Amino acid sequence: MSITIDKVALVLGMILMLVGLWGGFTRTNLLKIILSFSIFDTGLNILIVALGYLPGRTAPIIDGVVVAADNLATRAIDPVPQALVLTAIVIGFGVTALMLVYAMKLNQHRKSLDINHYTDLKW
Amino acid sequence: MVSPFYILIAGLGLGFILGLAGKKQAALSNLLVLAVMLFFTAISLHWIHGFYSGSFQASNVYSAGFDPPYSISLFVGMHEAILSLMINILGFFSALYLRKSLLREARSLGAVLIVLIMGLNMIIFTRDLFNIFVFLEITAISLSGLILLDDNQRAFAAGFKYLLASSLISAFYLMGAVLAYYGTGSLYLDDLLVRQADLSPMAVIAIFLMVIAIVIELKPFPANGWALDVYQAAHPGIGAIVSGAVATAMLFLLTKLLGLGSERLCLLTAMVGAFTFLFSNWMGLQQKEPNRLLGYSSIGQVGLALSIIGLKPVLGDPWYLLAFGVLLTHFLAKAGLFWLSGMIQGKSLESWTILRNKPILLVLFGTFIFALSAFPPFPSFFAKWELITGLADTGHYFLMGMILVGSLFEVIYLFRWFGIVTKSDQAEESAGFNMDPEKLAGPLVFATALFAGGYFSLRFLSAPDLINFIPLIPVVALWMLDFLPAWLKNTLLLMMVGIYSWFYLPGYTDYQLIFGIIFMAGAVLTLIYGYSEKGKRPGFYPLVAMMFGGLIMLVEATTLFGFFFAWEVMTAGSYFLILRGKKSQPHALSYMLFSFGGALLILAGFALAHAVTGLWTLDALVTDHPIAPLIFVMLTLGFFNKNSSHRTAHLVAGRPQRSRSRCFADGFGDPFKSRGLRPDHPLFKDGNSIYRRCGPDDRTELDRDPLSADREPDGSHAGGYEAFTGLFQCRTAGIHPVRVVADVEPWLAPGHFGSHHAFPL
Repeated sequence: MSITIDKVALVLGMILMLVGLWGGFTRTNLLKIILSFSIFDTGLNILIVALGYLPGRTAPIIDGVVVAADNLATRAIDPVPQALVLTAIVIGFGVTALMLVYAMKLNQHRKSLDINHYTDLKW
Repeated sequence: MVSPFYILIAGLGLGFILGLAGKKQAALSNLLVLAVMLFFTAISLHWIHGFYSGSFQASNVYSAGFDPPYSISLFVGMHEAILSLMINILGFFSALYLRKSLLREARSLGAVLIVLIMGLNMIIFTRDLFNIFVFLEITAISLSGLILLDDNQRAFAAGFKYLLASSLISAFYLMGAVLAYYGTGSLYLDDLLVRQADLSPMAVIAIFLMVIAIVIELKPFPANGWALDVYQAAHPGIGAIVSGAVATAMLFLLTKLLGLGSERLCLLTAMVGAFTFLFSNWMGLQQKEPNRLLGYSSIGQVGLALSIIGLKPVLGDPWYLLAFGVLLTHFLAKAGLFWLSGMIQGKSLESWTILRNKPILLVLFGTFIFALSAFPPFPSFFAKWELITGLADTGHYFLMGMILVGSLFEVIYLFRWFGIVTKSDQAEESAGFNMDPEKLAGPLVFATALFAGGYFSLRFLSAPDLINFIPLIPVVALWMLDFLPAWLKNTLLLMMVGIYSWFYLPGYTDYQLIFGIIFMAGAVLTLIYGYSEKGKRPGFYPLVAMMFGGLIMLVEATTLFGFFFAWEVMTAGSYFLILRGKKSQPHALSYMLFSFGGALLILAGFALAHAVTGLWTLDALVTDHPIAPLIFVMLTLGFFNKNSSHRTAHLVAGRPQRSRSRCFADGFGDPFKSRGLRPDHPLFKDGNSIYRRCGPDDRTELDRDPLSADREPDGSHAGGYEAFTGLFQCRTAGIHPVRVVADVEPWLAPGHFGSHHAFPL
């Protein structure tokens, strides 16, 4: 089995997801938890792009190489996963921003980013 | 038909514009929020009207003029229209409820509320797997934004957890959706449904991932701490949305996705749901904080609905009516309870005792508690009956047992709470109260909807609907005439009993006649005694009429369902009668628990009897099937549980029973007739306690009337009647209970009635 770029990306994406999950479950600092979530999200996005990759093809952009009516179906990779990833990146950005707002609000109240200081409710 | 895209456009558009509004436009923004919620509601009503009248057909609407998979498809049918109506009405009343908070704290959160309700609507309509992910994230973000409404650290911690957990769940869902695309080449749900028979292993894994993600989104036990904190710490108005609207949308989403899943996946979901129902209610038993208790109850009820959705392959067609019955009750009652909790300042169950002075709110509270406990006439009662009979028919006894035990746990904590609110001595003095008329609108409408829902549920029963509601008319009439003096109401009820006996007793034969005469004569004797009472006796007559009504319905019942319905009506009536007594809280609770436990056994017995005979009439009980002894034991235990409940009430309360003869022997005189003691007698009775005089103003409590609950004049009639009810039913079934029972409960054998029970004959 040859090592191709999509397989590398696939493995890399999975590793990043696992790193993100591990970080999310083991860190106690709010910012590190948020960062871990971002790493997990990035890993997932890479995984999606890698799944949609077809070896030997180019980006699905109509230019000199890819002409829509002619050879789009044979020369370009599947554009759907890429469109999905674009949307997922935007949503991930929104979620991360809101998480940071929460971290900021919590820090304003108790001057701490450690989740062990927020045990009024069970974690 | 109005396109569902208008909800999307209005939601996003207005959400965006309101975000730009300044402080000066705060009042206007709020009005716009209410207007857009009304607009959403009007669209849902328009659809429902169209589908009902036949002028609309369920149809797909595609975005941007393309066909799927190149466009997003929104599907609207009757189910979607009804669920969107529920969400939009909740959205409207939430906006009304949160109006002042939104004005005070942050005006732009109104926009977030609109986006949240829009997102939930879209989750219901969309048929595109990726689109589902987008709206899952939109609802998670907007809900977490709304949690910021309350400026307290606990809410922030809860909101952060919620956001983190729901984002992770959405990410796993996304992975599933992408794998589904990889395996099938389409994100269109209908495409996948068409190819369901030959899905690749990759697609099967993808569906599993998506279904599990949504199941976890529904907060199954034990992966639900992140959601419980939101229920507990966030503004109760937000709790109502999470418990009602979010759960509704997610359950429907799961229904759509499970259409792709195998039968095994469905049953796995059903088991997860049933475990969640059982263990959440178990955890609910230990809760002392009302909102966390409501959180556990919410998770339990959603678990039950989840279980029914998973049982789709087992239950067949009626499954969605059952799921809807449970969901509707949960949706209306839980939103109502969360709204009520927002009016009460205080974080303990006792702080709700303030409702005693607010009759309307107390009635609403009682309605929600009885609805959640699946009492008639609420939709959950019919759904539970159908569910248990359906499970028995298909041989799923394990699930049946789990659901019955879970129901009992739920009733224990709900009625403990109800007892504390109505009768506890530990009223919290500091608890404040804060009610705006606009906050009352939601609970009022939702409580009314619960009754309406019950009325419509009756139509969908698979058992023949042969319930005679005439005996319940006096309940309503006397409730409306409760302002009249006691003697007049007594006379009215006596007349009603007389009229009923005159017209109906001659039509009875056999055991119906015997027990009809016993019940009617008992009623007359009880009412004659009632003339000795002064004042208005508020609430007594509707309740006693309810109990008599239940008894008459028992005599008249010809179907299993009719009998069970009457049994529950009688239980509710006698529970309230006992609760009316002084210091009756623990007794009333034990009475309810044992009665309800008994009722569950009867339900299980009936379900099994129907399963083996296929009959819905009481003839189903006459069977020589091998499991007939089991049914007999269940019914016997069920019937006599109710009677034992009176005695057990005292054991539970930790008080030794002191018989009348023992009282005499101890020189106390008859404690129950101690009104006749001379004023200078060293012993006297006050309330339910016997005291010894120690000085002019000093006294020592010697003994408390152990039978205070059922010896209260108002509650004294419950036990004996029900003993007869049990006997009556056994007789109807062609068995001889007295012989059997005399061994188990010697005091119930003929000639022993009245030794502990105030049987009026």
